[in-house]
Amino acid sequence: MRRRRERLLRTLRINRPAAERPLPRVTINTGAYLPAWVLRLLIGLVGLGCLAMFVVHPAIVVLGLAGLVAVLVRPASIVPALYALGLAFLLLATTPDPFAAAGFLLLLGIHLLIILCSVTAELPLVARVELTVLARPARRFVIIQLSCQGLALAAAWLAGADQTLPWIGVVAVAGLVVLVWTLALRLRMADAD
Amino acid sequence: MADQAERSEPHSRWQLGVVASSAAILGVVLVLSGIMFQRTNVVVLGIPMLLNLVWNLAHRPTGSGRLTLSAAEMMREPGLVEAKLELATVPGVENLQLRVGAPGHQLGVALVAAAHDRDIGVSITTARTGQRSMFHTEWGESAADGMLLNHPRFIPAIMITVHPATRALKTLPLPFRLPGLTGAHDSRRAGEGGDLHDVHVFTPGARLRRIDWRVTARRAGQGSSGRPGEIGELYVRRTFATADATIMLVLDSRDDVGPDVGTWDDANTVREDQATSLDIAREAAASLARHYLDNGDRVGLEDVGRLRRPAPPSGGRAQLHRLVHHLAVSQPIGEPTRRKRAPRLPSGALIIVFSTFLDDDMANFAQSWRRSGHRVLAVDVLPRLTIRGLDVRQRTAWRIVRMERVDRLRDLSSSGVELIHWEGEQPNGQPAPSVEVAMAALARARRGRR
Repeated sequence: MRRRRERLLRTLRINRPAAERPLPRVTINTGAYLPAWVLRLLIGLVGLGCLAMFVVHPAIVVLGLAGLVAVLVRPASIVPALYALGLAFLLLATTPDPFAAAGFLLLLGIHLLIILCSVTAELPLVARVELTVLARPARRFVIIQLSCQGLALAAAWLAGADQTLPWIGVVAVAGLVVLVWTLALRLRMADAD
Repeated sequence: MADQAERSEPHSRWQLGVVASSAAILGVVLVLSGIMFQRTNVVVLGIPMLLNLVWNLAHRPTGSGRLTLSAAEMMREPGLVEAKLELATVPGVENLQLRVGAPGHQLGVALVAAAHDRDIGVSITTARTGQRSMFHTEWGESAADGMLLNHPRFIPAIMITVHPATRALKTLPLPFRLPGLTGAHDSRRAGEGGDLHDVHVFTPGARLRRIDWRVTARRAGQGSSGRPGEIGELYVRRTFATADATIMLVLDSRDDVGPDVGTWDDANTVREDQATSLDIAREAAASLARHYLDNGDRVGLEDVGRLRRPAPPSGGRAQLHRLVHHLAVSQPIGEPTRRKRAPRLPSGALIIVFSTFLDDDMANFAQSWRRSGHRVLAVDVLPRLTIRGLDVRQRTAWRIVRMERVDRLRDLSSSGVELIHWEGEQPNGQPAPSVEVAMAALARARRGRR
């Protein structure tokens, strides 16, 4: 009985001998910080919010939750991109309306999910993330997000106007090529430096 | 904690992280899928990924910063060991991921801003003292929301000397005999001191300012001249001389055992938050040295784990620093050379021995010094022990060791060596009086002998 009691107390981490206490941690004196688990929790909430817009079948919910768990466990992998791709295909399959709120919210959610995964990718849950680290990504996120939401609105208007603009696709592909070419040039110049 | 070291490693190899690469592919796939299925809301889902990639790659850092690790100049509080990481960054680098380790500690991990040059403090709290290698650091720069990563680099640990803390003590015992003519203590001889010794007839060599005119006047006419009222002999007030004490601290650095008996084999290490016997010995020796030196006495240090004498007796603040440094760097070095005779120590000195008394050597030395007339104080520095987790054979071994130790300490006490348990626990496990109380009792007990 006594042994059982001792075992129970040890399991509950009560009355644990000094030698079995967890080792202390090296302190890194940062500025104001958030623990990495808060950001991981935020990733979970964002992922859950995105998934909540497509509750059309229990199997999709189960698959989505499994994917979200995988994202939370391995944010530094290809899993977040796959999860985002899955959400995009759900949008493709379930929401034909270009003005549907789900499209705009998913634009926000996927972008935020990828940025958060990127920032906290290699960090363990107990790591400290300095708040100033989040300032630059936040600023960039707002700028890109505002322009993309505007673009989404314009695209939705074009799609809703039911106008056939065959040159849009050509312009888009040409834009992509120019973008990639410019980028490659800049990267080559940077490498030469 | 004066040791310092600087190590850094400039290098640059920037590459896209897994998340960034997969996000870029995701962006392309979404755009193409949207075009293929003629769905604008899918096309725009991929745009932020591509824009993000373009923005970030366009501002890609071209070089790499430098990180330098150095120990802090001094300890701000006992047990707190600090070091400084100095970052010299380059444009484009945004963040720095740090993984800092120390023996007996879990890795500290942090993501800090690295846009500007800065100092980042790292620290651990430890109960251990002495020379310790710590703060090995793995660091990696990142830019563009963590999408661009420079390959991680490594800074080896630096050697930091953690000096022992000192405990404030009020009264401490003194040697049986106080040599010298000056010092903070009263001697039994007449001389230049403060307390009245006697009134004596003026003799050649006596100081004129010590003439006691009242006594001289009172005794006028009683001297050899015989005539009343006529001053015949002068009387002087003599005082007790002052003297200083010589204290020899004898450290037994041959073994260093932790409170967990299970770690006494070489296979297990002592936890960083548990002081070992040598840590306790360092603290005890430093505390006593500080008190005696503050009182103007001369203190020296002998380490029986080494053949040379680290510090001969001397006084003053510099001597305290010297002793504390010697204490901090003393540690078991392989198999120590066995001494056949007890080291020779200054005559009349109070000898304070710091040992675990797990073998006979130190007890024999202490008894030898006591037999030669020294006052010997044995400070037992074995920590409060725990035998939890020992198997049957280990428990049996420990019982034998404990019984031998109890006998050894009993022999010491009976031979006139005074015994103090620094951790407040007697060999039989009973609580001992606190060090302050025990020291004050010893000081009172021998005060009459000076």
